This record gives sequence, C-alpha cells and structure tokens, in this order.
Amino acid sequence: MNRGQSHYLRIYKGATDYDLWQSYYVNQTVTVDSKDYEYFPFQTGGIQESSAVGSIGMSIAMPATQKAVETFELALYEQRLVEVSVYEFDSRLGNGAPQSGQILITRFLGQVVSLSGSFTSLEISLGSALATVGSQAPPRTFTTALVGNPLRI
Amino acid sequence: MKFTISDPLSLVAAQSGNSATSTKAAAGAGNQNLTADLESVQLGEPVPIVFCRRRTVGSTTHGGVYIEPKATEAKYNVDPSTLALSFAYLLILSEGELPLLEVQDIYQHTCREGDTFNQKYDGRAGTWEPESNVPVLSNGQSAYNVPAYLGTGGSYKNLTTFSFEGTSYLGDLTWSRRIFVAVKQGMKVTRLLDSVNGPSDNFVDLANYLLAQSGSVASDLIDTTGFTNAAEFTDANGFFYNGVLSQAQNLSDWLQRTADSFLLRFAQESGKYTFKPRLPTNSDGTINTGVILPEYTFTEDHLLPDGFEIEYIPVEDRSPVCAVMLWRQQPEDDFGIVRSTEVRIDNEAANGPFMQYDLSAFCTTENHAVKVGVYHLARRKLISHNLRILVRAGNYGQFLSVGDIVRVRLRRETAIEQVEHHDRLYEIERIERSPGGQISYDLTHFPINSQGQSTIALAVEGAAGKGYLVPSAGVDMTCGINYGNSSSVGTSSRYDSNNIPPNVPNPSDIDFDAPSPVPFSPSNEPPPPYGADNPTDPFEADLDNTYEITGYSGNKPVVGDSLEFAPGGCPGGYTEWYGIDVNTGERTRIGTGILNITTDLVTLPIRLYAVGRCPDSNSPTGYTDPIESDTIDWFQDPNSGTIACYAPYALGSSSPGGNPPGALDTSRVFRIGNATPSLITIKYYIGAQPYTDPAILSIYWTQPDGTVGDATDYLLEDNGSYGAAPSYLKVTRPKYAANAIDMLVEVRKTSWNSYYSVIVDCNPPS
Repeated sequence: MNRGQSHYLRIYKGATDYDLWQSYYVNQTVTVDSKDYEYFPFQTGGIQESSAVGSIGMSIAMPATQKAVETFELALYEQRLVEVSVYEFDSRLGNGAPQSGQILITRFLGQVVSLSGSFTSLEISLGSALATVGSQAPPRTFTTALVGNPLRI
Repeated sequence: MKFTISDPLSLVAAQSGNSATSTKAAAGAGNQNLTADLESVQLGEPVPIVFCRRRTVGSTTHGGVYIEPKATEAKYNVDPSTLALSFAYLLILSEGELPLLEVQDIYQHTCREGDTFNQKYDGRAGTWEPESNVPVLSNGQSAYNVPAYLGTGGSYKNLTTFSFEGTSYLGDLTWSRRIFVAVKQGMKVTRLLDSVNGPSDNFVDLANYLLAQSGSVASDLIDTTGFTNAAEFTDANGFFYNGVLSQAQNLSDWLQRTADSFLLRFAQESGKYTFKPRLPTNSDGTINTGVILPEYTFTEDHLLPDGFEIEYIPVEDRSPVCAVMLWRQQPEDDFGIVRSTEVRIDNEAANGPFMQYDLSAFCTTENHAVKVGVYHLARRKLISHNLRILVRAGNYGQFLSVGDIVRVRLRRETAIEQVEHHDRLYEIERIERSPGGQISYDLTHFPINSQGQSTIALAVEGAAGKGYLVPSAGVDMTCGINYGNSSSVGTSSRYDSNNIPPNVPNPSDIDFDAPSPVPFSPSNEPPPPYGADNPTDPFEADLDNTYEITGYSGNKPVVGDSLEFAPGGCPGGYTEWYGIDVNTGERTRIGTGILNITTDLVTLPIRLYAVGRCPDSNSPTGYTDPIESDTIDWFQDPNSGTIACYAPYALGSSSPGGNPPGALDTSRVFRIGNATPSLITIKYYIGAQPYTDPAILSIYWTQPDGTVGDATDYLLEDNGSYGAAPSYLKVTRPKYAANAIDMLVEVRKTSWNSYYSVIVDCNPPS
C-alpha cells in the first residue's frame, strides 16, 4: 500500500484563519501552502458531491476536548467556514513531513450545520445553511417600514 | 461502531431527472387575467422580482414580460362641475432598480391610458399625496365607489415605484381596473458574462442574485466559475429567463426545479453550489455534438469486490410520451400569449400519454421550449440504467467531479472463449469518498452512437421550433391615447428612502434593534454561581435504624438484656443471631428472634451480630434479602483489648529480633468472671537452643472499682526440654466482690535471645 492520505482542516472567515489542524503528522506542526497546521486528531466521514442538492456534506469526528468543543461552538455560532483538504502522497517516500509532490485530491468547503456527540467525542456535520424547507425566494416581503399602511381595495 | 447507509441506487433516476417530474396539468403560469380589478399590496406578501431583458438574438427579438403591479397609495379627486374623477395610484413594480419605462408600455385594462407617469427607484414616485374628495350625489350615493383607506406610504427602500395618474368619467370603471406594465428591461443585476450592471435574461444571473440575497449562503460557497460557465451555456443556446418571481417558495427547490428547464443541474461540488449543463458543451458554451471522450476508464483493476451495482430505469419512466411544452409568445407591443407545443418522437405517442411542462412563466422562445422537450424525451428513450461502482483509491480522485463522463469497461466471461464486455459511457451523478480512500460513484448511462457522439446532445441540438406566431386576436391593441408614445416616463418624486416625511413610518420608529448580546464564547459563559441542590432521594438513603441492634444500653449488652434487630423497623421480621469466634473467626448461629443475654452467653469469646429479614409476600422465601446488623464487639478483638478468659488463650510468642529486651513485647487484658476458677494456669514454652533466655511475665489485677494493683512479675525460664515441653505458672485470682475483674498480662524479653510462647488458661482441667 503506497498511497497515504493526510487531512487538513482550516476554520476561517473572510481573511482570518482561526484554526489550522492536521491529523496525520502526530504531534507536529507542518506547513502547507504557507499555512502552519498543528496536530489534532480528527477523522473525516467521507466527502460527498452530488447533482442533488440538500443532503450533501461531510462529517468530522474528534475527541471532545475543551479546545475542540470551544472551536466548533464558535464556528457554528459565528457561521465560520470550514475547509477540509485531503492530500495524497507516496508513503514509500516517507511519512515524517508533507511531501513536495503530494497531490490535493479533494477539498470540501462548508459551514458547521450541526454539532453533536457524547461527553468524549464530537461529531461535526459540514454543509450549507441553505434550508431545504421554508421560503427564501423572493428574499423580501412587504413591511410597514417599506410601504406603511397600504391602500385597501 | 459506525454504519454508512447510502441512498438506494434506484433513487439516482429521480435525482438525475430521469423519473417523470411533471405531476399534474394546470393552467400555464404565464396566463394573465386582463379584466381583473386593481389589487393593493398586502403586508407580508413577497416583493416581486421582475427579471427580463428584451433583445434581439440572431434574427429574433424576444423577451420582456407584462406585469400587474399592486398599489400602495391612491388619490381620488372629483371635479364638481364635470364629475370627472382624477385618480392616482402608487404602484410597486419590482425589487431593485428598473430602467425607465416608456409611456407606450403602460396600460390600464387593455388600453394605453393615463395622463401622468413617474417612476422612482429607492423612493416614492409622483408628487401627489393620498386624499379623497369624492362627493355624494343627489341620490345619496357616492359618485365613485372608491376605497376609504388610501395608504400612508413607506420608505420604498430598494424598490422601483411607479406613479400612475389618470382621469375617468361617470360610468367608466376604468379607474378601478388593473394596470399592466410591459417591462422590457427588468431589474438591474451584475451580469456574470460581461460584469455589466444592467437588466439580464440569464437564469444563472437571477440564481446568483437570489443566493446572495438569501443571506444563508456565504459567498465562498458559490462556485463563480461554474456559474459563469453555466451562464455561457444558457446564453449560447438561447435559454432565456423573462418572468416575474412573486410567489414565496423554497429557494433550493426553486433552483433545482427551474434549472431543469434550462438544461442545467443545480449541484454541489466540494461543498460549493454550482450549475452544470446537462449536455456536453464546447468551450464557448454551445452543445458539443462531437466525439465524447471520457475523463477516465474504470476496469476490473479499479473495482473493489462487490463494487458493481446496476439498476435499470423502470418502464413507466421510459414509455413513449408526448411532451406538451407551455411557453409564452411575447409580442413587442401586446400581452403575452401562452402557447403550447407538442413534442414527440416520430411515430410515437400520437395520442398520448401527455406530459406537460410549464415554462410559460419565463420562457419566451419556442426553440427553448422545444429543446427542453426533446431533451426529456431523449432521456426517456435512450438512457436505460444507472450504475454504482466502488473503486479503490486512485489518482482519478483528484480530477473527476459531478457531471464528468467516464467509461466503465468490464469483462464478462460466460463461457470458455466467449468473452464479452460491459462497455458504456456514464455521467457522474454522485461521488462519495470514504475515509479509507475508497470512492463510490453513482453513474447515469450516457448513450452515444457509433461515432462516439452523445445521442441526446445530437437530438437537442437538432431540435427547433417551427417559428409560427399565433395572432393575439386582440380587438384593438392600438387603443389609448398613449399608443406609439415611446418617450420615457417622468421621474418626479415626493421623497426617497433617505428623506422620508414625518408621517411616513421611519424604521427606527417601528422596528426594534435588540441590544447586542455579550460576544459569545464558551469561556465567557460562566458556570452557574451556585452549588447543586438536589432534593434528597429517600430511596437512596439508609433505612432508619437499618443496622442497629436494640435492647441494651451502654457500649455492650450485659446479662439480662434482650437484644432485638429489625432492619428499618419493619414488623414481623425474622432475625438470626451469629457469633464470630474471636480466635478462629468462625461464625456460629447462636439464636433467633429476641436474644436474651445470659451468663453463659456473655462469656463466649465471640463478636455478635444479627441478620434480619423483613416480610415480603412476593418473595419465594417470604422474606426480603438479608440485612446484617452492626457487630457488637462484645468480646474484644483477639489482637487487642479485653477478652473473656474462660478457655486457653494464646497470648503471643516471640522470635529472635523484634522488640528490644525490656520493652513490652505482648500484652492482653483478660476479664475473669465469677465463674472462673480462682486458680489460673499460664502455660509457657521457652525456645530451643540457643534461644533459651528467659522472659518476664507481669500480671496486674484491676478491681471492679477500677483500682489497678501493682504488678507481680514472674520469671519464665527454660526447663531443659529445649522448647519441647511446656512449663506451668499457677496464678491465684484475688477474691473481690462478686463482679468480674480484669487481669492484665504483659510479657517482656530479657535479651535478644528470649524466645517464648505463652498460653493463658483460666479454666484449666483440675
């Protein structure tokens, strides 16, 4: 088995990176694309792409440490973006640090749409906040501020 | 343990649009009621979005939409001399900014009527104020039955408003009729294709605007490149949107449903929303009718065991149908005409079944409608199955995405030297990547001809409308004083949204801005400033008097006491009494029920406890589980304290080493009752060579009144048997009162070589 995969997680909003984690290089901080990712154990639950909108997303599982809980509570509350990148590399060339020849095989971008778990583990679902129920189009309705007390015919 | 459950493969047909989506026949959404009365805006209903652009593409001019704006303010004035009614309405045209209308585009009922027109974006068009002075006629009736509530006005922020002023005479009800506006250039948006802020007829521009305005989708989650490519596709193939969005609906549903009518799929790729053409395209967005090359070919080398699953489209989704396409023929200067075009494959479904697709709300070109119809028919005819493959990790994982074309070529050997292949092209509908690197692809059959061209693409590209235009059959579309007046309407305005008069509600007067809460952070949220205060659970507490033996006072029972044990105070219980031999630890049952303390009992070298059971009629034994009482350490622990002396008791022994000479090596208090003979024998051994040095045994007598007598020392010496035979020391118990006395016995070594063993016998054989 020559194929290794490393996962990187980035939580950001606008131009601000809040957390940069990687789960492959244990107890190391590694640099990829000029960003320093510190080690944190997490596992991704598979990335989906589909022509049917609505149920697409991915899940992340990690130990429910205080840091993890705080990080994702904030991400959910402030609607921060979460980007998960998966790189593949030839593990025969070493596993000590990111290889220059590693290939980005997929990248998923979403928001924290749900957070759950137990006292010891945290399950995060990434996706979009565009609800599949309720009406959002057209975006505005007539209000008192817009039209006052309108004509009654 | 986690389980992954995938959607059944049979759902892919519906998700990819291969299943029938036309549910019921209904009147085309583009139909308009030309004789209806004017309506007023109702608070809470959606603000309409007019999205259109009339332009010439090739040799065809198309687009635009007739709208029926609703009113928010009105004015009615009657000329007392002529009884002519001068009226004015303030109408809401659309969300956003519309270019100025032309006078000839304004209708009341079906004629180009009206005196004065003004249009304003982000403010209130027209300078008149709401009022009414309609007189009462001599017959007691109002000259004109006008509304009583005329409207107060609002900020009209980011709305395009329109002021219509006209005149009517007695008996003419035109003043109350619906007003129609022919909008040729709709709401301004930033167009994806040329970045111009102006009217658009590109569905993807509208989708982009709605997603941004929804506030639910971060801009990073929109695949702008994908949107731009999709906009090129619709523009290049003549799929235009000219309509009004006024009914409240779920945005996600609306985008998926409407995208289908533009041969687009609304998808998510790497978490981002995007549009993907449903047909292969060239770089300029036109339909690719050339050879289709797959992005990748999957073979046995890639598939994992049990990694092939196939599902054929059911017959009800493949049987021939006639697609009835509703669209809207939009003349230059007339109301839209809802048209139907029946599309069928040659020699099929001549008499149905019919499947209706309503595009009349936004489609104004016949070609568009026909191509969409042919697309649906071609899919029904040509696509036969869906596939799901599970493949190992590979480099294809980085460049395959939804909508890509792949090839699946697998050997099928059913007999010796008879090798066939499952060899088809497929379109990727879904990709699921597992943490272990495996990838699952849901695929839809992509039919090609012998040259490798997409047969569906060929069918759609070759489809075109007949170009027949149905006459409007209008009685007189030139009626109205403003027919042919192409000048723009006026721009007079009472106020704009930044300068509204006092009588118009200011958002600060009617809306409420809650104070911003303390920025949330888990570290900012303190724990409750009080401790836990749970009510006592009585069923988790000990029963009252659970383990207590009753019937005596003081620390120990004495002769004459009657001991009882009832755990929790339950009546009718069953009690057993046990003694633990202080020397051997052996437990012996010594009684049941109430235990009367006798002289014989009190001198036993035991520790006493009880085992009680409460009555329980539901138990096989008739009693609950046993509950042990506390132990009455009546007779002291053999290793310490006072013990009864009625049987030989090994005081202790020593070995070389241990406590130093002269120090207390072992001691014990013996309680000697009146029944104990007065002569007490102390049996001892002195150790074998060379440990034959003597020990000193001291005895202290404690009188019943507590007086402790002086020690009497006795020398324990070797008797020459080298520890094989004992020696005896006779001690006489002093006679005091009838009560028991205590005898304290202490032993000390005289040297490091004192090795002894002492046994105290208060009842030696005579």
